[in-house]
Amino acid sequence: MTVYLDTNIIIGYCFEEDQSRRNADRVVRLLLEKLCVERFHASPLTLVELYSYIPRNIDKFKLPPELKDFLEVDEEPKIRVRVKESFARLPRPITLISDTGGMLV
Amino acid sequence: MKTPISQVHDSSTFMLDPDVTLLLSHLARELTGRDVIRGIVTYGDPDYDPVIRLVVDLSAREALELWLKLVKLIPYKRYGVVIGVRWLGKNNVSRDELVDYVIKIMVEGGLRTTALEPLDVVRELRGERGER
Repeated sequence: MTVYLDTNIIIGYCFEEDQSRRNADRVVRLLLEKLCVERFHASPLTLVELYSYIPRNIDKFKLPPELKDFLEVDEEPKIRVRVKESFARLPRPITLISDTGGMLV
Repeated sequence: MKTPISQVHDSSTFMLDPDVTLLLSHLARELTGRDVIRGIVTYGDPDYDPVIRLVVDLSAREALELWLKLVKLIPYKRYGVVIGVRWLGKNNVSRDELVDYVIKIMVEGGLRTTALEPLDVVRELRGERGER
């Protein structure tokens, strides 16, 4: 089974400091345990929202030592790392689906 | 003649068991098949605690592969030590590849981005979507 994940859940699940972390964690756990979800879906809107939310909050995030040195030159890689990290932390692979149903990634 | 390993230790902020640096040197040798470590720097980070940086005589790609292997063997999420690698050889990775390596190292090592203040994504996205 595949399930569409809202941006709230993706960010809430991936950032421990987010106030919705506990709820997002519970939703993801339920999807895995009760519905045996094997893959998540997201839409281009998810990417738009991530690329909108993360730059606005970029100063609130701290990258781990040793890794941040490579990304301090400009903002874009820092943002990209956080977007990619959000997807990579999910316990199942995520596929971006276009509005017409085609796979983007 | 082998280049001696230099060790820099910021003892004002942090003390690390010397066995850990020995273990890392040994692992790096096992994983690459040769002595590649040219320096070890240890320091403390206020949010992540101990950090060990290995300076290696490898190209960027080889060093990043070594880094990835090391964090899989000694993940931060289990041992609470951040491992870093810096290379003395040529920079043979693109910016995109470097970003991909950073992600892999973070995920495999269980290193997370931390937020310096509480976030409320639900409220922010609601505002953006015009929801109440």
